[in-house]
Amino acid sequence: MTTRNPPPEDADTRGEGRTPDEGDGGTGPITDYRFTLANERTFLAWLRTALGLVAGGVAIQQLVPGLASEGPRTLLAALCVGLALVIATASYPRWRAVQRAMARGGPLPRNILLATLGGGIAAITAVAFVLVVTA
Amino acid sequence: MSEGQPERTGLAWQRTALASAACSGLLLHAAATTGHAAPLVAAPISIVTTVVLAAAGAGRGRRLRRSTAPLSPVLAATATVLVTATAAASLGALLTTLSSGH
Repeated sequence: MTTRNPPPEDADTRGEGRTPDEGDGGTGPITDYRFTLANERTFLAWLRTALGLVAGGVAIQQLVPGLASEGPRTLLAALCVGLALVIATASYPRWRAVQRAMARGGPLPRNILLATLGGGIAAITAVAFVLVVTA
Repeated sequence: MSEGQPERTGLAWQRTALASAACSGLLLHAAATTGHAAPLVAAPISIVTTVVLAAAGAGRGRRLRRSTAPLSPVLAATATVLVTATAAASLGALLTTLSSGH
């Protein structure tokens, strides 16, 4: 599924407050700065999600020894940190692809990161549920 | 011009640095309690990530007060590499712990 850039509802049509986009070497249309800053915040939110998963994984392994024996607990922690690794790796290409799409004025690229995160969290939740029930 | 946008972006950098600091604290705890070498590698990487994110975020916040230029790809790539390195080192630490049987 692709999504078109929303029209800048109250964008300054005189060009004030807009910035040349770096995504196409500065030759493409000028992108409203609110969109580039929103994309930057989304990029940072993906990085925070990855860092949160790392923290969660380490916390599971270190701080809840009563949850399960060492092996299953480490497996759950490794799932969290592995998902963090995937998300962190994919965050920059995603940010770059959205920057380029906005510079072209084209549709935003498909976002498979959300499905990956959803599937990963579902798997982590399922493993955690099994560990809690069998504890 | 929407003045809140640069401020919110600067705050997002600070939140990211704080998340990295929480990771560093947990990895330092792991290094102090497990006695394995792997967390001793992961913790410094996470600390470096925290420091770089905090410094880059402060600089980005200052620049955003003067100009709303887009984020530099170099800065975005640096942040990505550091967070990825933190995750990879943490995964290595977990798997080392598992293989050693502790």
